[in-house]
Amino acid sequence: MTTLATAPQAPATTANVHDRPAGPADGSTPARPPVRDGLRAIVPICLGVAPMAVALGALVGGSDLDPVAALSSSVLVMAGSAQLTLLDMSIRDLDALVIVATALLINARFLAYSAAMASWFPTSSRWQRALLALPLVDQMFLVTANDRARVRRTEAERRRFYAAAAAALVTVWVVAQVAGYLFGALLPEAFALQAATPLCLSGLLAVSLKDRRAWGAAAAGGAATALLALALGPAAILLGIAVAVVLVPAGSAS
Amino acid sequence: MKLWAVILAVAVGTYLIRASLLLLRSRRTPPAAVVARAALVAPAALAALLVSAGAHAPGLPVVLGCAAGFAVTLRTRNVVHALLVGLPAVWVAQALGLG
Repeated sequence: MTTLATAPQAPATTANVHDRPAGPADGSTPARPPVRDGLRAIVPICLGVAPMAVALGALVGGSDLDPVAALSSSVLVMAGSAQLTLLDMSIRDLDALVIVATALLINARFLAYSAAMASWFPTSSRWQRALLALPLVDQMFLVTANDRARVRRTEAERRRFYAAAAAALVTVWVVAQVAGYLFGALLPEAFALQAATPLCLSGLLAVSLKDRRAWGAAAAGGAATALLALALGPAAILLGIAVAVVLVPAGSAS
Repeated sequence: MKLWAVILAVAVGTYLIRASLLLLRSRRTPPAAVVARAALVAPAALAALLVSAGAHAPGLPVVLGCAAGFAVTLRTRNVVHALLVGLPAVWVAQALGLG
C-alpha cells in the first residue's frame, strides 16, 4: 500500500470542498490533492487511537507473552478490538481455538465494509482491491466514506487518498504500540495501566452501541456469558456471543 | 509458538473477511440479514469479554473507572475518552481507598 502512496501528488489547492462544484470525475482537473487530504483526514484519528495503542503495548510489556509475536499482531491483525481480545485471552491462557474464533467474530463487521468498498472501487484491478483490503478497519472505512460523501475524485485519486491515510494510520498504530511496550513499565504502579484493558473494552463497547439492537446484543451477550461461565468456563464467551447474535432480532441492515 | 499460531490464524482470517467481497468483484451485497447479524457481533463480543474480565475480580476502582469511561464514551463516541476519563477515575477511587 505504500507503493500506492508514492504516486505523484496533485497540485495543491486552497479551495474549500464546499466552494467547489462537483465536476465530472474524469481526472483532468484533480479536485483536491488526494495524498494530502488522506493525511489530513487521518491525523485526528491517529491522535485518537494512539493512547489505545500505547495501552496495548504496555499490556504486552507487562505480560509473559512473546513480545515480537504480540507486537506483530498490531500490523498483522490491524484491528484494535480483536487485538486486545487476542492478547487478553492469550494472557489468560485460554484455548487457542476459542481465541481465534472470538477475534474473528469481532472482525465479522468488516464484511459490511468490504461490501461497501467493492461498490466504491468498481474499476480497480484485482491486485489493487487486494491491497485496499489490507488496512480495512473502522477508521479507514470512516474517513473513506466521509471523503466520498464530500469530495468528487477519480478512482485512482481515491486510492491515493486511501493509501496515504492507511500508511499514516498503520505507522502511528505500530510505533505507539512499540512505545507502550518499551516505556509502559517505566510508569509507576499507581498509574493502574492494568486497568487499561477493561477501560478500552468499556470504550469500544460504548462506541459499538449504535442502536437498540446493538444494546440488545450486548445485554444478551453479557448475560449469556455470565450464566454460561458457571458451567463452561472460558468457552462461555464464544457461546455467549453466539446466543446473542442468534437471539437478537436482526431487523434490517443499517 | 501457540501465540504465533493464534495471531497468524486471526490475521489470515481477518484478511479473508476484509477481502472477501472486494475480491468477488460483483456488486452484489451479501444478504441484508447476514450484514445485520455481523454488526451485532461486536457489541455482543465486547460485552461478553467485559463480563469475563469482571469475573477476575478487578477491584472496585477499576469497575468504577470502567463505568465512568463507558458513560462518557457513550456520549462522545470516542474510544479514547474511556482511557482519558476512566484512568483518572481509577486513580481517584484508589486514592480514596476504595480498592
